[in-house]
This record gives sequence, C-alpha cells and structure tokens, in this order.
Amino acid sequence: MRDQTVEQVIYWRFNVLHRVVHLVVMFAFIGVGLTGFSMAFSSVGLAQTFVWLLGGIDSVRYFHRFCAVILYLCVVTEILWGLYYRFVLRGNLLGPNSICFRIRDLRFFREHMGYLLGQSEGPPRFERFTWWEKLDYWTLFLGMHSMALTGVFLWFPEFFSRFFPGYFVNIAQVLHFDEAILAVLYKFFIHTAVRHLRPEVYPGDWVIFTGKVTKETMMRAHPGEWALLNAHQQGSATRDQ
Amino acid sequence: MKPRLQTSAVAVCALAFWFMAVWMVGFSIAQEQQPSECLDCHRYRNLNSNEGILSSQQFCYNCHKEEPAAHADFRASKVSFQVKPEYFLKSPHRFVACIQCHTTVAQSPHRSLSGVQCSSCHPKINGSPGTHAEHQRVRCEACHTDSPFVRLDAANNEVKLSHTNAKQATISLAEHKVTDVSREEFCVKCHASNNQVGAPTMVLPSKSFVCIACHYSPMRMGSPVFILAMMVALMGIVGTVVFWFRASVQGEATSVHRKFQLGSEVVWSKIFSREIFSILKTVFFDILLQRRILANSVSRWLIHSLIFYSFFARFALSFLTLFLQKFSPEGELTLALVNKDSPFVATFNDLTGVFILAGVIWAMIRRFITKPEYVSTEEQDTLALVIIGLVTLSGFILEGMRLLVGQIPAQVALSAFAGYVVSKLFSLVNLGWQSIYGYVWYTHALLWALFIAYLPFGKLKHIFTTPLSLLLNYKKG
Amino acid sequence: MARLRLFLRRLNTAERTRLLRSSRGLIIAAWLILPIHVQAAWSGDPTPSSSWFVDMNRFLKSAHGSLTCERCHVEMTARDKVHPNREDPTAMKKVVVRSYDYKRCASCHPEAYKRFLQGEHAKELAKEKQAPPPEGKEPPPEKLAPTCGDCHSSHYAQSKRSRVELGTQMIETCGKCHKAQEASYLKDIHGRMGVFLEKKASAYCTDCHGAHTCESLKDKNKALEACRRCHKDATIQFAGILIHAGQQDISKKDPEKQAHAAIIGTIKGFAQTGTIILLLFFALQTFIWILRELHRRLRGR
Repeated sequence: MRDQTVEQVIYWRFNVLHRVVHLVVMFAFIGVGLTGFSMAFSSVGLAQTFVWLLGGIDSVRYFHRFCAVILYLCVVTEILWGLYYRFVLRGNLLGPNSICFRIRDLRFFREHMGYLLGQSEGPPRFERFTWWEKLDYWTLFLGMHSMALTGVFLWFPEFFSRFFPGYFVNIAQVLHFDEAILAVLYKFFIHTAVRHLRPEVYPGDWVIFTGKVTKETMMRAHPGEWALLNAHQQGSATRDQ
Repeated sequence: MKPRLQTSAVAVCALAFWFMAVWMVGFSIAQEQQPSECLDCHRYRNLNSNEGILSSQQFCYNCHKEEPAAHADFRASKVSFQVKPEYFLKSPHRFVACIQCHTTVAQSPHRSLSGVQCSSCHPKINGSPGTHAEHQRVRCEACHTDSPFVRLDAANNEVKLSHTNAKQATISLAEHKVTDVSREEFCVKCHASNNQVGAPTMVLPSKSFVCIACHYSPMRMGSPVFILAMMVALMGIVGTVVFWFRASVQGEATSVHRKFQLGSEVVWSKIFSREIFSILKTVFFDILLQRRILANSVSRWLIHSLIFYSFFARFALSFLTLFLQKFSPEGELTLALVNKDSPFVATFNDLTGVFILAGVIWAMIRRFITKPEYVSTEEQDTLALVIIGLVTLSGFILEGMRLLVGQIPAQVALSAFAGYVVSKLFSLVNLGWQSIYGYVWYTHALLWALFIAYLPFGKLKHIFTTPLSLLLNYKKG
Repeated sequence: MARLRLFLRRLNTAERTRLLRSSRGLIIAAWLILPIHVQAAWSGDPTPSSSWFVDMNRFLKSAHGSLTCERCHVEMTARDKVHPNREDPTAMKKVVVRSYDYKRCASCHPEAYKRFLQGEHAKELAKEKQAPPPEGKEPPPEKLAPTCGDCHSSHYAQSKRSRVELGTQMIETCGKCHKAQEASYLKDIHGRMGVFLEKKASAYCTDCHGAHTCESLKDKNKALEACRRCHKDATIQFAGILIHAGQQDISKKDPEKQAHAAIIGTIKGFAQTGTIILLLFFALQTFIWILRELHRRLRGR
C-alpha cells in the first residue's frame, strides 16, 4: 500500500519543449559529428566509406551544414524560451531551481569531489540541477555559438575575408576542429557514461525523454530541491538539514 | 667465243643477281632486326622462369664478369665490382637473379639506393625469432655476409654492412659469401667491447618462454636459470595440489584414485549444467572485474587493478604477438608488434610499466606510511610487492640503458617516454654502459626467474588460488 | 526423428542461404572497415621509369606505344656510340632523364614545351646549366631541376584517366620533390576533398600553380588570380588564407606569413592542450565516480 503511494508521486522536471529540443539536438549532434569527422579524418578508410555511403562529399557537406543549422536553431529556441519564461511566465532565472550557475555550485563541486575521493560517505545534497547537468547544458549552449562562428567562417570564407585577414580562416579551422573533438568526445563518452553507466542510474536515466521523476529518485538525486519543495508545502523553515 | 660470252654474261648476271639477292635479304634481315636490337638487352624478363633468371644474370655479367682493371670505375675508386661466376656458383643464391636481391640497381643512375632486399624472399623474422626480434634495426646482410666490418647509420637508425674497413679504405663485398650462422663467433663482430654500433658487450641469450608475461618471446626455454625456476615452480604447484588432495573429497579419505574420480565428476557435472552460467558470472565479475576488492575499498581496487590489468594487458599483447609471429611472420602488424621500438609497443610497454610501478608505490605508501586500520602488513605481501617493483624498475633501467647504448634517435626513443627520461639521466654519467648492460639484463631476468620460482609458495600464489577458491565457493558470493 | 530431418532440410535450403547471406554481409562490412589506400597508378608501377628494362606489354598499351625506340632515344644509334660505355665512369651515374634530350618531346607536344619554358622549373634548369654540379657528384634526382621525364612517365604514360585519378597521381608526382607541400596540401581542405574524398571540383597542384608553368604564388596578386578561378568573389585578403600551412612551407623571407603561422600555431597549441586536459580530467573523474558508486552498491548502501 505504502509503496504504491510513494511511487505514484511524480515530479516534473522537463516540459515537452525541452524534451523535443533534447531529442532534436541529440540526432543533429550525431549527424554533425559523423559528417564532420568523416571530412576531418578523410584519410581514414572508414571515413571514405561513410562518405561514399552518404553519396559523395557534396551531400556530406550539405548534411553537415543542415544539421549545424538545426542545432543552432535549437539554441535559438532555448533563448526564446528563456525570454518567455522570464517575461511572460514571470519566472526567476537565477533562483535555486534555475539552470544558471550559482556560487553555491562551487561548494557542491568541491563536496562532490571530496565524496569521489572517499572523504565523505555520500554525495552532497544537490538542488534541482547538479553542477554537471549545468555544465552539460552550458558547454553545449556556449559551444554551439563558437562552433557556429567558426563554422560560418569556413562556410563563407570569401565573404568573411572581406573584413578579416585571410589567416583568420585558418584559425577558425583549428578552433572548429579542436572544439569538435572536445565536444564529441565529451558528449559521446563522458556524458553518456554519467547518464547511463553510473550504477545509480544504470541502465539509463530516462528523465530527459519522459520528463518526470519518482519521489525516490527525487530524494536520492536532488535532496536539496526535495527539501525545498517540502518546506514550501509544509511551510516549515527547516530547509537545509 | 659466243657461248663463252654468253656463259660469262649469264655468270655475271647470276653473280649480280646473287649479290643483289644477298644484299636484299641481308637488308631485309637487318630491317627486321633493328627494332628488336634495343630489346635484346632491355626487355623486361619474367623472373618467374629459369630463362628469365639466367638471362637476367647474363645481363649483369656482361659488365660484372670482367677483370676489374677493364673498368674506368675501378681505376677511379679501386673497388672491384667483379662477381666471379665460380664464387657465385657456390652461393646458396646461385639460381636467383641479381636484380631479385639488388632490386633497385638496374636503373639509371646505376647505384643501389635501397640495398639488398632479403625480405622479398625471406621473412624478416624466421629461424631463430628471439634473436631476429632483438636485431630488427640490423640489416640482414650485416650479420649474414662474411665480412668483419659493420657500421651504425645514425640517420636511418640501422646497422649496416660497412663498405670500408677499419682504416677507412673502401673494400669489395663482391664475393657474396654467406656467413655460417652455426658458429657463434659471428656475434662477436658487434658484441665486443667499445663497438661503434651500439651493441652491448655481452652476447646475451634470447628471451625465454617465461618472459611472455610481459614481453614477446619465442617458444624456447632459454637460459638454464629459467629452467631451474620453472622446475621450482612446478614442484611448488605439484606440492600444493598434493597437499590439497590430502584432504578428503566428498567423504573419500584414502584412495587418491577415488578422490580424482569424485572430484572430476563434480567438475564435469558443473560444466554441463545450468550452473555454468552462474559460474561464468563469477568468473566475469569476481575474477575479471575484481568485484570483491571494490566492495572492500576503492583505493585498494585501483592499486590492484593498476598491477593486475597492466600485467594482463602485457601478457595479452605478447601472446597475440607470438600467435601472429607463428601464423603471419611477414605481416606488417607482426613486425610492428615484435619491434619494441615501434611507437605503439614502446608507449604501451612504458605506460603499463608506469602503471605497475605506480600501483606498487601506492601499495607501499599505504602499507608503511598512511597505514589505514584495515591494511594488515605481512612479510609475504611485502616480499611479493618488492619483487614486482624491482622487476619493473630494472626493466625501466634496462630500457634506458638500451636507448642510450643503442644510440636510438630521440624521435624513435620518445615513444618510450619513461625509458627516454631514464636514458637521459644515464647519459649524464659516463660509465661503461655497454658492459654494464649485460649484468643488468641478467639481474632483470634473475628477478623474473625468482618471481616464477616464488609463484606457488608466497603471496603470489593468490594469482591462482583466489580465482580457484572463488569458483569453488561461487554460491556463497 | 522426423522433426530433426525437417529441421535439417530447412537448414539446407532457407537457413543456409540466410547464413551465407549474413556472413557475406559480415565480409562486406569487414571490407568497408578496412582502410582504402589511395594509390595512384604511379606508385603501383612495378617498374620505375628509370629501370633499364621495358615491359613491352605495358609499353604497347601506353600513350607512346606506337613510337619506336629511336624516335626518342635517337642519340643511342649515333655513329661511334658505344652503348654501355665502360670507359666513361660518369655514364652509369647519370640520372636517366638526363640521358636523352627532353627537347625532343617538343616535336609532338609544342604547347606544353612552350609553357614549360615560361615556368619556374625551366628557370631553375637555366640556373643549373650555368653552374652545373661537379662531374660524378650529381645530387639525387629529387634535387635536380626537373625536365619532362621527371614528372611524366614516358614508357607507361596512361591515357584517358579521370580528373581525380590524374589529380591524385599529380600529388604524388609533385610530392616526390615538394614533400612538405604534399603533406600540408593533404591536410588542407582542397587535399582532403580532392584526394581522399574524390571531389572533382577541388583543386589539385596545377589548378592553382598552372600546368607546366608551375609558378610560385608567393605574390598575393598572383595567388588571388589563382583563387578566383574557382572562388569568384575572392578579395585580396582571401589570398592570405594559408593553404600550405606547414612549418617548412613558409619561406623565411615572408615575415607576414611567418607571423600568421606563429599565431595559428600558438592558438592550436593552447586549444589542443586545453582539450586534452579537460577530457583527461572528466574521464578520470567519471571513472572514479563509477567506482565509488559501485563500491557503495556492493556495500549495500
């Protein structure tokens, strides 16, 4: 009886817009990464085969740019959502429930590292978004801008070389490549490992697709937020124990 | 008169006709021959046929059979390129065309750019793979040609046959005499004190099969030290097994035969039953992934993994190399894996070595400095750690000395990052590293022999006993 | 028993074909994963053009297959000519393309010859003629100024090849002497597209540097002209993009390009170090994180 009631309590973490954006970003990112790396490492046989399968280098370039534009549109959507949230819904963009970094995240990070090194028994009491979730979000959000900037330099070199010296195109190439390596390796390996391989969430944390979490997960992974919610509901002042 | 005139006119006409015919025929023959004149010599021969080989040899003999004095070249440089057929016919290569070994010489400019190509017929590592694997930067002809002069080509990192003698005078190598490798004296032309080719002074034996835990080594028992170590280890293993079977097996206490019968029956029934899956699970989680140690402590798991997985990876790689060497001795991958200076192997070996050393040092620190309450120090454990640490440390010292003595160029040596640092440290002190190398080599080998011999007795026994006891008690876990 | 027979019969027909088909898929997949080496006709040549032996099978199929030997090697049949001349020690040391008169090519290819004379290679050749290397101590072929035969195979010149094939071979041919430029070209977008990904519209060596003229494009205006053959809207700054961006490619006499290359190099160094440090940190952190949580779970907490 009691178990059922516990499981029935559901907390919403992501609305439909965010779920759709994540799904689109996921596929567009895979597309942009595969096509980009097949062009960057074109001396490797596998890359040549992939390009051949997609119908030649011209279609690969088209696909790369198509996915990149979609990715950037997702970023724009997020910005629009932020404005909507702030000015129409009158939400707080800097509160404890926000995705923005706060000073407190530094403390969480230090405490989390201490937990990993065996100095404390459990992880710190995270709030709505943990530091790595915020990092995942903001690296992609800001990274998309710099990738887009260097990307358009490479897309329209004739146009941009009217205003900048030619070697800026070379610099754009270097940065575009290095950041792509960083982003793809981070997202494909570290993000995936944190989201799927960690014993606490294994075999997968589906919250980004379903949008909801159970009370148990809430208490385990976001005790800070849970305590805050309960404090509001019960009107209690003992929030941070 | 008339008939005579007639006769003579006929004769003149016939003669004229004869000459004309001869001239015409001759002309036509000449016309026919002319296009093929160049190709008499310059045709592309089929070296898969006897005719092609012999005529190709003949092409070279056109010039190289002659007395050296007949050559302007000889008069300039005083080196004879005369290949006497009577010498060459004694060679094992007498039915091989010259250009099959000297592949790039039949062209202009007429000089050999790539040297003799033995590997177009012979695999680079065959016969005695242990010896060949260690001498990968030594060109085949440097040892297999009967000439006492060799040199180190520092630019290409190769040891070559020298074209000059000790007095820097050019010598002729045209005799094509192949060394008799059954004599061991031919090693000494490099492995002598103060040699210039970067060889250690001692003629060291080839690696033994027991070295395969960390290095590629051929299937040979090698030095008697290893035979002794193996025998000690075998005795220990037999002793342990005998000790185990002293106990009763399933109630049978006396008959050894019955014990074996009952014991093997149990094993058989376990393998062919559903329990095999839970046994395999135990193998995977408890033996391969070391679940129990992780449950114990994270840092203990890290220390154990640093040592265990490094040894495991090294063993896997050297075993793969042995396998490849047996089944594709000429493969590109085989040659790269056998060569310990190749970038991947050098980096891999150094990385795993550093891991082992880090694990040993970390364990030592926990044992003697930080001393958490759950670490109980036993002398056996310390001995095992010390042996592993010393083997690894001597390995790095040996590698550093090899890089220094062998004058391996920096861009090659840098792949062995730790060994390179050691070699740079050694280069600060000018000791006779060439002669010390042999002793350090024997130290390293003896330490490993000690490891093997100690295996069934001390702490190291756990490599076998822990998995075994885990398997026997898998239900409890 | 009947069931077993049925099963076997099934396996013989449908199952077996499926098995075969799936394994064929595996084989094809293996082939796809194996690296495809871009190999020009030149490098696959079993006989280098300097070899003394002529493979008539291939010669007769080549573009020059209808010519007789004397048509080109005319001086070989001259009077008083001893062919392997043993009294002349330098005869054997001569590079093969020097042993025949390259001007003879002009009798059939006058246009190419004229352009060659205007180009950098011919200027280099003129310099070399003024100060010839000492007898018998000639430098290796790749250090000499090239004539026709250094770039073109005369015995086995293939005809009717595609643009990509020709371009790929060109990269190797030019790369025999201009090694650094070949390496940096293959790293550049033009090389990656043109050689590895077989994009016809990419530029190969002579598309920028001119066929047979082989100009240097150090002068920006000249370079811009070359750029504009494809990039119609290019401006003078566009010509400042480094195509051959390697260390050895940029001449020391060009301080501007040197400075640009230095800036690019610095940025590249920072970017790479940052990438490696960040990735290593997060990889190690995630690994220990997983271990810590496993440990907690195994302890039942």
